[in-house]
This record gives sequence, C-alpha cells and structure tokens, in this order.
Amino acid sequence: MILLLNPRPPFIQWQISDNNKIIEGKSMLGPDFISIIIEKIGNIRKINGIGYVLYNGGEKFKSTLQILDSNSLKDLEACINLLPEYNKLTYEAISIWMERMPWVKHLLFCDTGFFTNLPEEASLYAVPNILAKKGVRRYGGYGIYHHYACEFADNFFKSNCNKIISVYIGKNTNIAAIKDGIPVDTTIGFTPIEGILSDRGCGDIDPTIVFQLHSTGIAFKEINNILTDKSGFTGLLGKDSSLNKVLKNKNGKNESKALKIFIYNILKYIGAYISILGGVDLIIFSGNNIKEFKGLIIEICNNLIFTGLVLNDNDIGNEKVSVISDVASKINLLCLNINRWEIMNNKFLNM
Amino acid sequence: MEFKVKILVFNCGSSSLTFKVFEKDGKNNPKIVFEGKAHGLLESHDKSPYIELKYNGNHETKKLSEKSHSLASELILKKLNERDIKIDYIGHRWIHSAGQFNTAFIDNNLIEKLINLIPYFPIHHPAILNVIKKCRTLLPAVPEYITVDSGFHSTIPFEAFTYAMPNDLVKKFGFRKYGFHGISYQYVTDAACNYLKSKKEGLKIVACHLGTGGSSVAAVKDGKSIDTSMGYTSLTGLVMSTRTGDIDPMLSVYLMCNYGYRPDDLMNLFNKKSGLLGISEFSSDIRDLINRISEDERSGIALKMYVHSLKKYIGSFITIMKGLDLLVFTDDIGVHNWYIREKVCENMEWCNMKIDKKKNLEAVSDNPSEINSKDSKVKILIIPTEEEFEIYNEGLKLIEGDVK
Repeated sequence: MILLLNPRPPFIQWQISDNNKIIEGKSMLGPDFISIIIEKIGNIRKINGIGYVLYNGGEKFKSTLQILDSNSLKDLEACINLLPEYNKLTYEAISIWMERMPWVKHLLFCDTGFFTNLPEEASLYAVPNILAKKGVRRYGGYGIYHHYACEFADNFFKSNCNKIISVYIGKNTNIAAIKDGIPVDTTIGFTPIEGILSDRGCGDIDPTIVFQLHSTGIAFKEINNILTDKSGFTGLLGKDSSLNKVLKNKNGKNESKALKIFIYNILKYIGAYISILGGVDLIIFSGNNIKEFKGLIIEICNNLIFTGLVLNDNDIGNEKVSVISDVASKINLLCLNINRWEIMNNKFLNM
Repeated sequence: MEFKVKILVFNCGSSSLTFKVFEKDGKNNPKIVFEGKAHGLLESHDKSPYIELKYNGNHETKKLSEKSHSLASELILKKLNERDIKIDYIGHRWIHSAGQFNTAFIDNNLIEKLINLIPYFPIHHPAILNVIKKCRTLLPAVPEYITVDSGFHSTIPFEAFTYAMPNDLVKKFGFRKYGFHGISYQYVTDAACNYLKSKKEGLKIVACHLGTGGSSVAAVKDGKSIDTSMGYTSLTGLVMSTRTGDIDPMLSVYLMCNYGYRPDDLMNLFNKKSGLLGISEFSSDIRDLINRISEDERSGIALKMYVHSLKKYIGSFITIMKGLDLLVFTDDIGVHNWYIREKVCENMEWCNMKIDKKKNLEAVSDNPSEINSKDSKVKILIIPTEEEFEIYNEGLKLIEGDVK
C-alpha cells in the first residue's frame, strides 16, 4: 500500500493505492491528519511507502526522485522560502510522517529536480551575479511530468528522438526542450508565473509593470495577488475562469480571443525551442484527460505544418498513448494521458 | 511630386544628439548637406561633452560647455545660420506615443500630449522636448514634426501585444506590448526589398536590431510588423548591454519582499547594471567580452546568453510566420559583429537557413551585404540602418500629404 501526498494550500491532497484499489481525498495538515488516514485504511502498518511532492527544491534537490532520510529535513527547510505556501506543507507533511513511520520508504518527487542542470544560458537571468547568489535562477517546474514523458518516449520509440519538445497542457501549461534526455530550456522560470499564461497567472509580461503598479501605491502583496491570482484566463475573461472553462465555450467572443493568445504563446515557445535545439524529432503533449485538449493540440500542430509535420487520422481518446503523426511526418507526435499520482505510483512499483 | 526641400533631422539618444540636413531636389535621392553628432550629454557620464560637425568634406570637433541636448541643438542651429543653410522643416525622433500617433506635425496641442508621455521614457523624452522647444524659439517659422519609434509596430495583432492581466489595469495604465526601434525596422525593411528587388507582399522577414545600448528583434510580414521582442518598455526581450531582457515578473516582488530592495534601486539595477554587464561583471561592450572569451568564464556565459535569447526570438518569429525568407542584421553589433552573426546562424538548417562563414567574416559594413550560403533558401542580409534617413522619409510623406 502506497500513500501519496501533494500540497495544495491550504490542504494536503492524498491518495492511497493498494493494488488496484484507490482512495483519494484532501485534508488540513492538523494534528489529526495521521488518524484520518489510519481511519481510511484500518491499520497504519499496511503502508509500505510514502511519496511526497516538492514543488521547488532549489539547488538542494537535484533529481526528480530521491529517497528521504533524517538529513533531508534540514535541506527541505532551507527550500521553504522559494515557494513558501507549498513548500512549507511538504516540509511539515514529511516531518510528521517520517517521525511516525521511520521504517517505511519515504520518496521525494521534486518538480524542479529535472531542471537543476539546465545549461547556464537557460538557467541564468541576465541580472547582476550577486542576485544569482541569492537564488535567482530559472528553476522550471512540472519536472515530474517532463521527465516521465521523456523516459516514456525513449522506451516507446527506442531511437531517433534526440530532440524533444514536451508540452504539458493543463492548469499551468508549460513546455520543456530536451536534448539527449537532458533539458536545455523550459518556460517556467523562477516561479511558475513566468512563461505561458495559466488559469490565474499572467505568464510573460514586461517586468516594468510591477514597478509601475507599485509607484501608484499598490502594495507588493496586492501586486503578487494580481499577477498570480487575478490574471491569466481569469484576467482576460474578467471573471473566474480556466483553460477548461474557456475550451467549453470556445466560440464565445472573449473565450476565442483568449484561446488565440494562449495558442500564440505556445507556438512562440515551440518555435523558440526548435531554434535552440536546431530542429525537433518529437513533440509530446501530456496532461490529465488529454482528450479534452484535442482541438487545441490539432490547432497547434496545424500551425507547425511548415516544419514538415504531418498529422494522421488517429483520434486522441481515453488511451494512455496516441501517436498522431503520419509515417511521412518529419516530426513524431505523441499524446500522453497521464497524471501525477500515476507517475508516482509507477515509480514505487518499479523500485 | 517634385519640389526642392531641406529637412533637418534630430535623433536624440540618451547621451547623444545626431543631426542631418537632407536636401531633396526633384526626384533624385537627397543629399546630406550638413551633419554631425554631439556626445557625452548624459549628466551621469564622466566624459566631457563635445560635438562633431561635417560640412562640405570638412570635419570639425568642438567642446561643449554643458551636458545639454538643448545647448547642443542651439549650437547646431547657429552653425546652420552661419553657413546660410535655410531649413524648410525639422523632424524629430520620438520614442513612445502609447499608440496615439505616428508621424505628426508639432503644434501646441501635440506638445501637451508629448509632455504627458514623458514618464514612458524619462531620459529620452525630456531631452527631445527640450530640442523641440529650442527649435520653436529660434526658428519659429519652420514647421516641425515627430516620427514615433513605436509607430511601425502599431500593426501588431492583439494575440501578440496582449498581456494576460486584469482588464481594468490594462485599460488604466495602457499595459501592452508596444515595441521600439520601429524607425530602424521600417528603414531596413524598405532597404531589404530594394536590395532583393522584391515586393513587400508575401515576404517574411526577421530583423535583428542589435545596438550597443538596446537591442530587439521584429517579425515583419508583408512589410508590416507582427511581433517584436521589446514590450511595454525597452527593458524586456533580448539580453542587452545593461538591460535584463525577459525575466520572471515575480523576481522583483521576491527581491523586494525577501531582501528589502527598494523599487527605484531594483529598477536601476535591471536597466543599468544587468544584461551583459551584470553577467560578465566586466563590461557592457560585447566586443570586450568576445576578446576575453578564452580566458574568462563569465564573459563566455554572457555571450552564450546573448546568443541564446536571440535564437529563441528568431525561432519564435519564424514559427508564427510559418517560415522565413529573409534574416536581417542591423545597427552597430548587427552590422559589425561577425562572431555574433555566425553563432546565431549556427544549426538553423531546420528552417533552410545556412550562413556562408567566409562571406560573413569579410562583409563590409557600409552597404547591404548578403552572407547566406548559395544553397540557403533563406537570405541573410547585413543592412546598416539609417534612422535619420527614415525620419526624413516619413517627413516627406507627411509634407506631401500636407501640400496636396
């Protein structure tokens, strides 16, 4: 039996899987958190392993996956500042469970680990070096997905896919460029706000805007709130919104405009990454319930036909994998139906 | 229309003032009858100010008593008077009009609008206004006009200029991508079409304006700008000599909240101490870094970042145009720096572009030169930009419309 924990402030999302039986939920991380879980499974001794998601592991956690020990807590604590709301929850969850069940395997899934070794030209910002020493760099994100997508493709195609662009579509759509299994750039930067606009985050904007807002008397806390919670699809639509909501009403006037901006941003990054990779062999689209993004994926691909990409007639459905490129296509196209829990459970199974 | 006209063009930089007097006589290309450049006009520079003047093949350098654009322009007008050069029109480069106007005659009404636009470019805009005022005082009968540097980008579509922010803030502050170096892009677009003897329609151009201060890239389709790397201000886009280019907008929030940076100081850091200078910790001049590349790691990283950011934009713009016919390099670094051009054009076979390394190395800088290899489907051109000529040209169109 595997217990997986994922911080979703103010809650911890959890999943318990035992062979094919799965229970999921979310709880506050209070003193009775452990008893809530015990109540679900009867006996705590049934748990064989616990997995945790850490959203930003800074320079401390340099791989997607690692086994935690008692020394890890200090490193985890040092990462809290990088993403306080999320990292604090992960840190506390690990403290509680490692103390309670020191005999089982505790695995850390770090979402930035895959990107710790980005080449300097991609990881650094062109700011004074003194700021880099304060931890200012591109950390990336969704490394758990991109790393998995990359490994999956490697097994699936066996060869000839050295230059990969991995597109994660969802709440916080983002893209990674991967060469010979190693990421060379990604859209998420110091925070997940940089890159492509998300449900509530602004994506790339001129940084001068922050100063301009502040000069009119808006406090940093409020600026933070504007850029991370009131922007993106929500800002464009002028009401609480998301990619899924926009897609459901894609012919609406504002929705179609927002989608056009979104797709444009994705295409710009795909182009940027083709350029730095010097071409592309494979584009992977991944996400939970990928068939919901079928129209979107087809439209993105249709805009890339000039690169020699050719689509086939395959549908994007409920299958785990769909190949949507024709044999004549210069670029392979793969759609992956995957979620974080599945990837994490898979890793436990393979250990 | 054929007529004789003399136009004085002023081009204000932050620390310099370039001027040229164009004389048009009939259908021929204009002659430059007087030209020059004032240097060291920025208060914070420690170099003392001086002006170079070129007239009838003579070259003269004079010291200036003050660091002032206004004073430099006064001297220029005095020299014109001494040489009995009668000016019909005066054109000025204006940087940013927030989309309100492009090329326009200056009247009291416009002056008021220009004053309101000072905050967008607090160093350039007051300097330009001072030169305009000086001209109005000393030559009140000579009509003046401005040409706006962001004007060429007014054709950028909404999907490219929109920031995904709350609508009320966007409306209140005018937050959107504007883009700059438009006068230069207009010039190189026309010059490239002339060189290729091609129509603008159907042509897909990526133009790189790589200056010693600011740099940007533009996607030009059918002769119109459809996207560019600079944004609401000139801070964003490519890695520049002292500006950051694209960074995570949350960086400033993080640094101010966690490390107590003051907004003004951070803004200053991002604009004046970042870019190549910030990374290399040595120089903002790309030539210095290239010279040190073998011995100094930081210089090497700074150069890699410069090329990386440029390659990303070129790839983006090729993709949104669904292909490319022509890549243009212009302005100081674009025209003079073979190393950067060679690095940027490496591994671009995916879009059918290939540089001829020998041609690139031997290219001369005062004329358009072609540096792609014979089997490259994409042309690569070096075109020295001529902003003053373009301001003259825009003025001519305005005047002809006026005369009609």
